[in-house]
Amino acid sequence: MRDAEVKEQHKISPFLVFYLVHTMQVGVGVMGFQRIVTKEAGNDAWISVLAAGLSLHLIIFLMYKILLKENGDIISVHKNLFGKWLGGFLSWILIIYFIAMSITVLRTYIEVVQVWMFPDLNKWIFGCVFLLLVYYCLSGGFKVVTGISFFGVVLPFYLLLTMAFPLYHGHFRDLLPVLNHSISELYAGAKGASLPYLGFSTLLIYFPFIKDPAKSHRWAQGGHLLTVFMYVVVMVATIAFFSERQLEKTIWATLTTWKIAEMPFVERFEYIGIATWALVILPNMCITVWVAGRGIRRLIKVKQRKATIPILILVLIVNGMLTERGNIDLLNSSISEVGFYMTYIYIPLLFLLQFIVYKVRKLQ
Amino acid sequence: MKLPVLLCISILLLSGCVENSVVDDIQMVTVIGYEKGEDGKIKGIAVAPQFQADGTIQNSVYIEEAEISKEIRSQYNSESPKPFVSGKLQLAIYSREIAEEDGIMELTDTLQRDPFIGSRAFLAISDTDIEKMLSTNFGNADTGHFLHSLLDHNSNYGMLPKTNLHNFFYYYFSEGNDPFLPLITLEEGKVKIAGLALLKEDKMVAELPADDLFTFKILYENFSSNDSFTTDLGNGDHASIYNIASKRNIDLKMLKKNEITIKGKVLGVIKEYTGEELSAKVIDKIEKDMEAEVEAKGREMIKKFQEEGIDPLGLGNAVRSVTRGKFDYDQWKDRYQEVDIKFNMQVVITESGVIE
Repeated sequence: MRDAEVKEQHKISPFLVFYLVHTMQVGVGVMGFQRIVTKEAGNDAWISVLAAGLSLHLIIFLMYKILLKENGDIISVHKNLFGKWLGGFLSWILIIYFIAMSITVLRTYIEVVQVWMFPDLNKWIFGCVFLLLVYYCLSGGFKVVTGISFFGVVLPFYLLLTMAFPLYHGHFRDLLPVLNHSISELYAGAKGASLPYLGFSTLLIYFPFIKDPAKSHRWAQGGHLLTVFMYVVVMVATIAFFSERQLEKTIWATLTTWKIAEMPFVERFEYIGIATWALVILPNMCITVWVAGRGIRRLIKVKQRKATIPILILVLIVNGMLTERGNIDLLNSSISEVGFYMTYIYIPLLFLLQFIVYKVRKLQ
Repeated sequence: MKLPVLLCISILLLSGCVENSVVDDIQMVTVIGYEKGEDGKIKGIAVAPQFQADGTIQNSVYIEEAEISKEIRSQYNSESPKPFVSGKLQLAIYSREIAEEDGIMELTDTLQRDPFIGSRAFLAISDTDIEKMLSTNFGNADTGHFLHSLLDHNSNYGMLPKTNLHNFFYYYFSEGNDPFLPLITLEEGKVKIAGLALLKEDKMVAELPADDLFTFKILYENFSSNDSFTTDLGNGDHASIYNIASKRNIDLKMLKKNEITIKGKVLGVIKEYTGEELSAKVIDKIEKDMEAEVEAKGREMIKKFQEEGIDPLGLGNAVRSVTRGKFDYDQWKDRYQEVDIKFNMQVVITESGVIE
C-alpha cells in the first residue's frame, strides 16, 4: 500500500500545523460553550476549561506517538492493526464523524446568522455559495487549505480583544470562591468544555502531508495551547459578566457579550463579529471536508475530487433539512459526545493496542 | 475560466439574499414606554424620530394597547408609513403602577430575547404619566436620545449608579442581588431624575430620593464623579466638595459574628466654602462633618434595605463569594435581616482650589 505516501511538493512546513490545529478548534463551539460548562461547574467553569485543555495535550502526544510509529495516517493504522474489513469499517466511522462535524459547523453558523442578523436568510442559498467557496479552496489541494487556515487564525484574532468589554463590565467576585465544586462536577464541566476543543483529530488524516512530522509535534501542542489560553480568557470574562442563572438562559454567551461593546464607529459589534466569524468557519469547513475526501480516496480508489463533490452535496442537503433549534442543538451535543469518547477513550486504546501489537510482532 | 464563473454565480446569488433595511425607509424606535391600559391591557407608547431635510427632528409618537408587548409592535406597524425596527432602542420606561403591581419582567422579556436590542439600553421607572412625558418635545432632539443622554451622563459623571439592560438582568437573575432602576419624573416640561426605584425580584418595593443617591453610590460601587456634595457645617457655613473619587470595600472578616462592614473612602476637592478662612482645622471639620452626615444617611438606608428584605448592594453575592460549599440563599435571606451591617466613611480632602 504505497498510496499513503505524499509527494514532496504537496507537503507543508511543520510550523503550519500550529495554524491547522488551532483553527480547527476555534469554530462555532466558542460562541456558546460557556453555558454548557457552567451548568455543571458553576463559577469554577474556567477550571474545567483549563483542565480539559491541558488533558488534551496528552492526547495530542499520544496521537503523535501512534502516527509516528506508523509513519502514515490513521487509515493505515486501522488497516495495519485490524485488517482490511474491520479497519476499513473504523475508518468509515471516522469519515462520517468528520462529515457530521462539517455539517454541524455550517448549520450552526447559519443559525447564528439567522438569529442575530438576517432572520430571512435562505440556508440553501447561503450554504450553496459557501460550499462553492469551500470547493474552490479544496480544488487547490491541501496547501491551499493550510493557507486558508493561516488566515483563519490571523485575521479574526483581533476578536480576542473584544473580551475587554465583558472584562471591564465584569463582577469578579463571581469567580470566588475558587474550587468550590466537587471533582465530579468539574469533570462533568470538562466534558462539556471538550466540544470547542475537538477537531484537532483531523490531524490523524493530514499527518502524512507534514514535512518532517516529528518536528511538527511542538507546533501542534503550541496551537492547542493558544486555544486553551483563549478559552480560559473567554470563560473568565463570561463568568464575571453574567450571573449564573442569566448565563443558563443565554445560548450564545460570546455573542451576547458583544452587545455591550461600544465603539465610536459602530453601534452594534455583533454584526462585525459574526461576519468575521465566516473567516473562522471557512477553514473549519475546508479541513473537515478535505479530510473526509482524503479518507474516502484512501479507502476506495477514487480521485479525491470525485469524493469531495458528493460530500459537499450531502452537507448541503442535510444542512438544509435541519430547521429547528432543537435539532441543531441535538446535532451539536451528539457530535460533542462522540468526539469526547473518540478523543479520550479511542485514541488511548488505539495507542495501547498498537504498542502491544508491535511488541508481539517483534517477538515473533 | 472557473473563477470568473464562480464569481458571477456568487454575486448573482448573494445579492438580494436577505431583506435589506434602508435607513430612510424604516422607523427606528428610540424609546418605548409601558403603562397600564384599560381592562388589564398594556398601553405601549413608542417614539420614533423623523429627521427632516432642514435639520429639524420631529418625534412621532405611537400609542397602542394590547395583551403582550410584541403585539403592540404589530399594531404600530398598522398605523405607520414605514416598518418599525427595534435596533436603535435606547430606553424603555415602565410606569410606577406596573412596576409596583405586576412587575416588569414580563415586559422586559422581549428586550432580552430580541438580538437587535443592545445591552446598553436603559430601563427606567416613571413616577408621572409616560404618555405625557414621551409626547413632550425636548428642544430639537430625538426624545429617546435625549432621555438616554440624560441618564447616561448622570451615571458616568454624576451621582446615578450605573444601570443598563444587561445590569438589570444580571441582578435579576443573580440571587445575591436585587436590581434597581432610575426613577424619572416630568416636571414642568422637563424630565428629572427623581431617585432610584428599588426592586425585589422584578417588583418595585421602595425608592430612594435623589438626595440619597450620593450615599447610595458610595455604598454601591467605586466611582469618580464631577458632581458636588454640599455639607452644612453649622453656624451658617457651607462647603461644597467636588471631583469626588470613591472606593468601596466590603469587609466580611467578621461574618461569623454576624457582622459586615462596608467601608467607603472618598477623595475630594473643595469647590466652594462660604465661611471666612479655610484653615487646616476647618478642613478637618469639613471632613468629619461629611463623614458623619454620609454615615448617618447610609446606616439609615441599610436599615431600610434590611427591613424591606432587598439587597441592592449585592451583599448576598459578597457573602456567597466567601462561603465554601453550596450557598443556601433561603437561609441567607432570613439571616440578612439580622446581620449587623456597619458603615464607615473616610473623607480626605486633597485640594482646596486655586486660592487659599
